[in-house]
Amino acid sequence: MELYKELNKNKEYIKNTLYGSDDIVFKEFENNGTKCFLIYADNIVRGTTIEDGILTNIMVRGEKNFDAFQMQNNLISVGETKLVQSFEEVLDAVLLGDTALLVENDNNAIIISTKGWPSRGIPEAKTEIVVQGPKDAFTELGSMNTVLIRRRIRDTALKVRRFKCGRRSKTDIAVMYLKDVAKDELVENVISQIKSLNVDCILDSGYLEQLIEKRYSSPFPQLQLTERPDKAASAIYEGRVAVVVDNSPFVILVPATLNIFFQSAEDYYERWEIMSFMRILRFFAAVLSVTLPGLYIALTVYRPDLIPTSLALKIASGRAYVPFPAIAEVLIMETAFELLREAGVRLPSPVSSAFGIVGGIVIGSAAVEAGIVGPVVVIIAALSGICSFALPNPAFVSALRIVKYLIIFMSAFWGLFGFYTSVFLVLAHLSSLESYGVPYLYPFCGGSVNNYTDFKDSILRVPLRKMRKRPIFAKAGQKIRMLFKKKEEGGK
Amino acid sequence: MNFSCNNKISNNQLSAVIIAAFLGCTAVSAPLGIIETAGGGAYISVFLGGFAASVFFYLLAWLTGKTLTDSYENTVRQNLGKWLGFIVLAVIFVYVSVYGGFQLAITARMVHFTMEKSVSSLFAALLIVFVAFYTALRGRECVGRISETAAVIMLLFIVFIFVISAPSMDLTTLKPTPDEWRGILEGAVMSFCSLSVAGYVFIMLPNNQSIKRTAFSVFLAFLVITVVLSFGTALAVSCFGVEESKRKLWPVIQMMNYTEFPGSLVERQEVLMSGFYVFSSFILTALSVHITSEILESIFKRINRVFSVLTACAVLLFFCLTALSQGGFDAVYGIYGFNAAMYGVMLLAPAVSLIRRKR
Repeated sequence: MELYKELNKNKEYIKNTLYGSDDIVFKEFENNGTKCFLIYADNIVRGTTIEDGILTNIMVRGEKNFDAFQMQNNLISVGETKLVQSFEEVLDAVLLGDTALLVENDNNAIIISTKGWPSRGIPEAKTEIVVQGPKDAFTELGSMNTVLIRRRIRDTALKVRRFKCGRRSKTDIAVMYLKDVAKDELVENVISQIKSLNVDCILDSGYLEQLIEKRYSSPFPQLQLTERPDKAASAIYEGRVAVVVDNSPFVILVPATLNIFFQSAEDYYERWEIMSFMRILRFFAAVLSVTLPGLYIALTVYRPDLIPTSLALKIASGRAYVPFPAIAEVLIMETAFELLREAGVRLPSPVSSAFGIVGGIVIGSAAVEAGIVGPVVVIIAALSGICSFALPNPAFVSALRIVKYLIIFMSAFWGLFGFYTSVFLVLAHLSSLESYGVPYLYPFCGGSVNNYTDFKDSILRVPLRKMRKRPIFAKAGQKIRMLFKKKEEGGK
Repeated sequence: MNFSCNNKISNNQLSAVIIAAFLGCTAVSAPLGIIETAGGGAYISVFLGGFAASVFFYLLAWLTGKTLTDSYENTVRQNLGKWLGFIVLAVIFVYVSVYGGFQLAITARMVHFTMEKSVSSLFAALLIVFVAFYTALRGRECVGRISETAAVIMLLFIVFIFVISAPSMDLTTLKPTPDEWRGILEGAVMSFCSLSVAGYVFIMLPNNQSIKRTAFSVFLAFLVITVVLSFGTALAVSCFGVEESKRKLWPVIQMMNYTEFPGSLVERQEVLMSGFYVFSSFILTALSVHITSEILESIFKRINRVFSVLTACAVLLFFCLTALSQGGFDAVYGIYGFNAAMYGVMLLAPAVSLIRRKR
């Protein structure tokens, strides 16, 4: 709806629309006889900007009867201003923390950027902790997050496309990418996916992630969430797209493959030998965390003849007084472990680690002493849990936790055959997944498309000097990211 | 926009599909009769027959690839007309279903006897078909990708087994005697025939410009299978001796039991080996279901994807149950007798296309 020329009509419409919103401030004043009307939302604006940049300039220094356009250009000393002509734009801006100024006999309103959201400053990363490397993390302030990324990419090719999503929340979304590196189709696909959403609100990036995922019924995350600006910047350099969601300290990275969930920011800050070893360890840990409980059931219940005799006897003697079947044993310990994990998340951080250790030891040893579970099951559950903690991405770990139960149940019902079947089923599911046109199992599947160069950053992390090419995500003509002279490499 | 979502597989994925799907079933079926015929030189038979099959498939892939339009099914319909095309596709549908069903029956029985006594053959077959249904429903790319993963896992596993088994080989049993050469050549023909069932995989040939590369991928895949089978046969004969090997139903798999794992980590290794076979069977079943469902879709244009895959599963299961009710595997191996005729049927469309082009 267009603004009126008459200030009173505009005032009346805006006051009626915002009736009952006591946090909205309306201020009427004059500039050399011309009536002005200022609107802003309390506590989400920077007061000093309004006072010094708007009110003082217009009320004290204003000498002539300016219209909106002249005021914008001659009186208001705030960097970001614009003229709008509709009530919707005025109201949206006010609710986002900007200030609207309406002038008598003018159907334009000046929107002045005065956002001053309450913020907790730049925090330290909590879910993606590294020993060596930057410690800063994203905050709930979307604009701050874009700044944190831009600080790391001082390139004119870095583009930030802003728009709003959510009918009622009108959440600010910023899509960031390198214009000459990211594939145009990918960028447009991501933007159109987000713009096509017709939802009430986007409260967090996790919310948006689930809405733009292709296979939302899968437990495996098909987009990557990160709280680390360095990780987001690195992804952008590779040709991926970062989606910054206001009010969320996590940024979405598109696309994402299974391989990416095994990578930690630290992998590139430390020497390649140790980090390659860590990568192998992570893959091994992932396999163990998923398969160990199921394999234990399949072997002890159905095929004890496969276990070396001495070990089989030890397991049998440990289970001699246990009144439950192996599946119940495993489920008891796994559930106890899940509860400890869930409770540990809710507790204050200084207490949670102590609670986890004490709870684990007490429950484990008490359960064994009481004869509820055998000692081997405690080891199996603990090992499976520890292995899951070795993986750097919490969303991926959650998926593995779910899959673990599928394998447990199928192994319990059909022994080793159930175990193999469930493993194949999981592999088939992973093979069927894609993330914005990239196979989920890339580079393990389809690696030939990029001449297998992406294997250099998969199970092993080769020396940085050998990672000259960008991964598959980048445009075809933008594959080279490092160039060295022959002499620098020792004449090779 | 990207390299996925195009219902095509790459040359490497085609190699992987062939290795993953046919390594298992040929490991079971090939050496059984060949050791009987060729004795200690069975491994030579396997290699000779396998190499000949690899060359044969290279030529076949090259010929098919040269005449392929967008898909094999469309090539058939375009070159043979509506009704003859329908008959050819229907025959291929039945052949693939029968072969897939019979191989499924072998796997189901092996699961029951070797892996898990408590799981009946019928239930094992049902479970495998369910997994195949899921995989085939997700399309050709899914079959290609899972084969790529499985082929690598299987080959690594096999290399590991061979490395730890090789030192214990008794090479004296492997030396063929002069009077065995006739048997060896007969065994080579058997080996050729046992591998030739894999011919229907050409229906999945990727339609791309690099026909020679595609044909080479096929050649390489069969060569890998040949080398693995030759080595496996040699190991089995050296472990059991010729006479004992003849009495074994699955000598290559049962040979595993005599392999000493480092540190005695696992006992009864043949059960683990049968796991590798089960994996291969999952892929073969998924491949069969996928191919037959695509044939159904090309015959009945408006058929729903879920319905076509379900129908393909049901037909495959029917043939599996038929084989299971036979009690033995004679019917299963009887299918090799139809191979020559099947190649005639499968190559009809490419041949007509080639003749038309020359005119």
